[in-house]
Amino acid sequence: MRPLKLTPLLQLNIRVIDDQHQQLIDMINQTQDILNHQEDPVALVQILNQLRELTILHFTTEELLMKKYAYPDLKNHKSQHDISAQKTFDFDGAALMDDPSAAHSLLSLLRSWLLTHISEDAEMAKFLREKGAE
Amino acid sequence: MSNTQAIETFSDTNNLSVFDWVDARHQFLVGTYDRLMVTPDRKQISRCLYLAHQIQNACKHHESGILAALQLNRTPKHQYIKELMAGVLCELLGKKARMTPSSRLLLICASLTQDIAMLDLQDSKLDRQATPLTESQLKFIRKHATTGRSILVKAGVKDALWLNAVEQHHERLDGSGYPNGLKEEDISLGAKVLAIADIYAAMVRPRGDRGIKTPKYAIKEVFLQRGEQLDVTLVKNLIDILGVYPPGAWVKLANGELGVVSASGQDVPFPIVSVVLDNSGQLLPSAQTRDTQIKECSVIDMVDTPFLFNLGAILSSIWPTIPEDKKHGVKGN
Ligand SMILES: [Fe+2]
Ligand SMILES: [Fe+2]
Repeated sequence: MRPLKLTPLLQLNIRVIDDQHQQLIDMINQTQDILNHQEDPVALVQILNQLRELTILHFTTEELLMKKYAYPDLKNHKSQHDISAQKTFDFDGAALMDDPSAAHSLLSLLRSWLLTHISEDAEMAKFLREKGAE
Repeated sequence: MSNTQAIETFSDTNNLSVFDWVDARHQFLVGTYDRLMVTPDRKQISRCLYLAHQIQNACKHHESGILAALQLNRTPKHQYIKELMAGVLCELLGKKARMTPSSRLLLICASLTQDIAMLDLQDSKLDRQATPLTESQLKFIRKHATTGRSILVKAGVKDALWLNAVEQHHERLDGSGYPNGLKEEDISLGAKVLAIADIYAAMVRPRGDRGIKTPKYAIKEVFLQRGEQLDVTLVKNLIDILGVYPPGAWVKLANGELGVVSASGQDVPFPIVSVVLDNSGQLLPSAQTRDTQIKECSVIDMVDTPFLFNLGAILSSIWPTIPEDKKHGVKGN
């Protein structure tokens, strides 16, 4: 699979959000790389640890912006975040060390984390930009 | 401690391990509760302020050690460990929320006295009760915040911050809390901070009808309550303070070693870990520090407390001791 890029389609033009999405895309590409080259699975564990941190930071960032600008669909958007957050927290880190199929699960977690909410994010970003966020 | 006597002539301070420090604070707290129950007056309020002051002071240089000691604490007689942990978290959260030191002091007092109206129910029943709460217990619990405020007023507390935090610590942003179903803008900042500290501290300590939760689970749960129930920024601050792997959490490293998180580390996903067991499960002669940013020392996951006796000495050696003024130090009960 070709590396993912923050294409104009995925770009939301709100700096802080785009930067965090970029970090997630980097993690997806790194995970793909590790899988392709059958590298040491410890690197996957490091990615999972970083993903947990990014999840907290990113969802908090978006929700504070939505609240600040009184985004009407905040509740629904937040529940999407909760689904991804739950999966991220519950992911079994130990399995990455000895179960090769766990690496694929991590990759699909990362992808669904990004893809399920980025379309919601586009709606949100449009609203936020109109209200003056950048 | 057998060698205390010998040191006494040379020095006016005791050096307590973080565990002994927690133990002394707990004893003092129990003594304060006993006195408050009998005679709620200013003397007991001074004891609360005094204890809060010690917690605040110790947090300046021993934040990680104290958090770890509270997290690792499994002493059954320490039934008010939750109040102490909530007090420490209030101090740290209050600092992040830019509350003044004197406001934080009152907030620590609030966490120490948050459940003052249900001490009986807490120690004698809930801890040993294996069945769900009864109807009358629930009713009693729902009243404890208001009753707690009254007891404190009777004892002479006049600070609004302290009283409001106790009365409102079960209120939730969406109005689903008790006793008054207050909404976000009507809940005091102190109560919002105390609510988060209390929820987290309650989850990580063992309790009869609810099993113990790992810090990882507790952090997830608190995070999922952000927004509707708990303030988003304060929740984020709590996770920044504790890290995804909080001090005192047992973790397994990629190289097979087992240890406890001694400090959150500069970057949140990479805590400092003190290894206690080698990769074959053997107790090491002394704890070894590991930087988990290094690949082979990566934290794989949190694990349950290993079932081993005599971990006390090696764990005590991980964190620096806390000096305690003998003359003004805590005199137990
Ligand atoms: Fe989002
Ligand atoms: Fe997003």
